[in-house]
Amino acid sequence: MAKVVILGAGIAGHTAATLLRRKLPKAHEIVVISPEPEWNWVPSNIWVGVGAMPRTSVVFALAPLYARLGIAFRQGRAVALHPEGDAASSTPFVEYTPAGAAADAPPQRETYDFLVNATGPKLNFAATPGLGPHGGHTVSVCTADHAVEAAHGFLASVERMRKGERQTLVVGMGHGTCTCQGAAFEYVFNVEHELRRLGVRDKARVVYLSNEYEVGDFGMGGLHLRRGGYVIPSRMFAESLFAERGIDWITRSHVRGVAPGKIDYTTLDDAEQELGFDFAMLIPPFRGIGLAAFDRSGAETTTKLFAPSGFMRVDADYTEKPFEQWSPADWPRTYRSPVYENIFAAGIAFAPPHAVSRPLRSPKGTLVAPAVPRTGMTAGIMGRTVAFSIADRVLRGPDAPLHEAPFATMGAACVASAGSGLLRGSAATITMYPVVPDYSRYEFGRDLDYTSGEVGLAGHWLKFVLHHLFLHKARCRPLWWMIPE
Amino acid sequence: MTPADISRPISFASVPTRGTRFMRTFVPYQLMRFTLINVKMLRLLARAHHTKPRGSQ
Repeated sequence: MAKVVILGAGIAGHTAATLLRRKLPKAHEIVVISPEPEWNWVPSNIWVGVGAMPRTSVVFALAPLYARLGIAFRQGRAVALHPEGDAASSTPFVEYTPAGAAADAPPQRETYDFLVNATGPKLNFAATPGLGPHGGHTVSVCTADHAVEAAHGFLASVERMRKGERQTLVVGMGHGTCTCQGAAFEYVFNVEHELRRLGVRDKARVVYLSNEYEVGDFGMGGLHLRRGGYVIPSRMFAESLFAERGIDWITRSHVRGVAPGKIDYTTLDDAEQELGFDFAMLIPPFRGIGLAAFDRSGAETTTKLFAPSGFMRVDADYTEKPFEQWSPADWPRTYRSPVYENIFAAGIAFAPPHAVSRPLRSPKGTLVAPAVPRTGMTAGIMGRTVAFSIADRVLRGPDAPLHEAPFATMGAACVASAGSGLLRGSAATITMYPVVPDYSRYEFGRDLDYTSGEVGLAGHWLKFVLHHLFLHKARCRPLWWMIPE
Repeated sequence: MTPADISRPISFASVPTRGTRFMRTFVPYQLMRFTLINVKMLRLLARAHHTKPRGSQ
């Protein structure tokens, strides 16, 4: 009987766990190890972060669901992989520190036949001095708890505006190498929408501070859309939204540090700038969670399995080459480790072979390089793909072909909320195909028949429907498996 | 926009007309857009979101 261990219970890990449980008979064991006791629908943290939705609407406890489904749940943080076992046994295992264990307590072991690394990222606030809610001076919406704290800060700022004070609210990216610009983009529009709804918009200056070369890049190198007889860049689409809402934007920035009420940043021309703020939500850069790996003799093999960023290498081409030679073929198809046949990585945990946006350096060497997003829809598809591959190998034997969902040819749909409300809400709905631009096939890198963007109430309805649909799916309620990722 | 905005990036961006803004919250039109966006996403799913065994067509 096979045992599958899944590290992480985010979108990729939870999708893999639930689909594996559906595919495999109960005799096969599925174990999820996650430091968090709850599942979080992260896209709706945006609404929690402005006080428009309670925390309880975006999370649910994992233990009761997994008990119902027959999935073993270990709340803890994975620390090391032993893919060849140890001197005593060749059975591979994972070491993890259980939640609540004493700092000097020895890690627990969980053996496996197949391993899915879906840990998601480490939120690397430490990369920028003064960044983040843990001892820093900014807030975040990356977790439900962070979003609650962001809401408190935002509403405190609103209170000060009600007393007549003017406030500067800054939303954006806390480092030159950040990803997830979409989250900051959504948050800044929700902040602006709430300021208007609460009647204090005239007291606020709202600024979007980003490492994108232009707004609308989203770490995807931007995209092109048909509009009014032209093919326009997404920069025009995004700038239009900022201009309409009176939000200032600063691009090509690298935040060097945050002090109370002051953001210190540089831009690609090495201009050293300061931006005062009363409230700031800055997304941190991501890196791998710091898993170590060891061979049977106990020698460390971390660099064989993981890229320097801490993310796991999979079936991608990691050869260093100039931007002009980057190709969609560099991107992974099966998400399996090239070193061990029974290890897969899905979601943010896999190491991208390179960026999609062109990385740029200032004359003094400051790197401004938005990383490619691989969350949400793409993370779910990766989770499904590795689940199907593992299920086939368990049921049909080690020669069963792996499933493929090439990252480069995935499409993506992004519904970026620009304010909630059944009749007054708004969202930017963006579809694109493919995720990785292919200039050999498409004049503008992507298929314009499948790449589109529009703003309106319909987008808000869609985001609201998706919120409930994906929570229904994650809770494994009737016919959950029919809902696509 | 005011003369004070001229040096800000905002003054170089396109902005929606009053008619466009009205249509963004005009419920009958948005119901139609909601349907069309869903069709668009289903087409995208049909084209780009297959998970299939290696070597299969």
